[in-house]
Amino acid sequence: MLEGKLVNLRKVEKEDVDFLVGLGDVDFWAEYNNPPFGRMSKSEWMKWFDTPRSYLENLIEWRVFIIQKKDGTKIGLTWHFTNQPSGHIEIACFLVPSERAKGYGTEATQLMVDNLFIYRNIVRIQAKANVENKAAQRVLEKAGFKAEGTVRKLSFVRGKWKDKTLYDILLEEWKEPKILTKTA
Amino acid sequence: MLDGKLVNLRKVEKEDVDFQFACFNDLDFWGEYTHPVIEQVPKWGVKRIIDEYPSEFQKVMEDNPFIILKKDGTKIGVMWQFTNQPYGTMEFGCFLVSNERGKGYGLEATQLMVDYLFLSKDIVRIDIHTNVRNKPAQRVLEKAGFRVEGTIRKSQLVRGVWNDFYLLSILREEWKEPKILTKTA
Repeated sequence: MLEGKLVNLRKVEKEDVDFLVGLGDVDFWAEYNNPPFGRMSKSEWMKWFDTPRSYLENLIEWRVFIIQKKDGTKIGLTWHFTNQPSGHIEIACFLVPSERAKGYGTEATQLMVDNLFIYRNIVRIQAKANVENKAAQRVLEKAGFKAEGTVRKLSFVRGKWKDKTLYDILLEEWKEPKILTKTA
Repeated sequence: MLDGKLVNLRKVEKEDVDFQFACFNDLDFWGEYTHPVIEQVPKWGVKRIIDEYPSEFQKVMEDNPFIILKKDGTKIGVMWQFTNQPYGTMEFGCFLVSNERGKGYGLEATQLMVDYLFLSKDIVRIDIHTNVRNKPAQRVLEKAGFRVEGTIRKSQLVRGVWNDFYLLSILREEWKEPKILTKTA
């Protein structure tokens, strides 16, 4: 469990399956993102938990966390993965519509950045936000990311190819943990 | 075989072991801008790479290795075409032996590959990453119609230092039509 002041992050468990199925809702992925795993049914999710990861999945190291409020309410997902063959580590964060714009996304992002720089020997973390998604861009900037360019026609969303802004944060810009400061 | 005016591209064959062995083990081949894509390998290792193609890794990356040849058949470089995961964008890399650089071969090999990809795959863009310091590669890519989209800071460890790389791309609508692979018969 990665503990913040507003939210905690923990790895996804089988008991989260109903929450995950509920995210098949288009509003969750919003107008900016193609649902990365489509509309998965409960049985497809249960099968996903029990199936050994494929060779490609092992390379990509997709690690999914549930974002929950301090009272335990599940409010979203965040994950990191490794782009191949470049090896670039990337994060993403999604909140249910009713819990957006309350600081939860920023803290979840900071927790994820702290977590990655603390436990892995890496020099940078990247993230991508739809160019129209100003809310996500504000979150990334608050978390110390810098916009480095625009990747044109990267993802197919609601029937159209969409551009994404590429963000990154370097180890030397992060300097030290913002939320995961406990050293004991 | 993809036929150009100066060079041809063809898939790697077993007979290319000696050429690939010489390339892979020569630091000048990789230049000062790129981390050696394949580390020092023995001849039997190169042979195995070719014999056992595609490996599990090459399968998931949809790795497509080509040899660049002059019209007289001299082998002068290699080109890899692959798919970035998980986004699924296609990318390629081009390497020439050091004494054949600066003669237009890299540009034509690049144009051939762009033509080939847009003619044969249902894709909207092609990606290329290149070291910010590598001006010759950037000139080639600009001539081939690529545009810089952004900078990946500290993208690759090159000769012991983390180097920034540009991300470049060309969109299908910018390419419009084949430049070299124009034969329609």
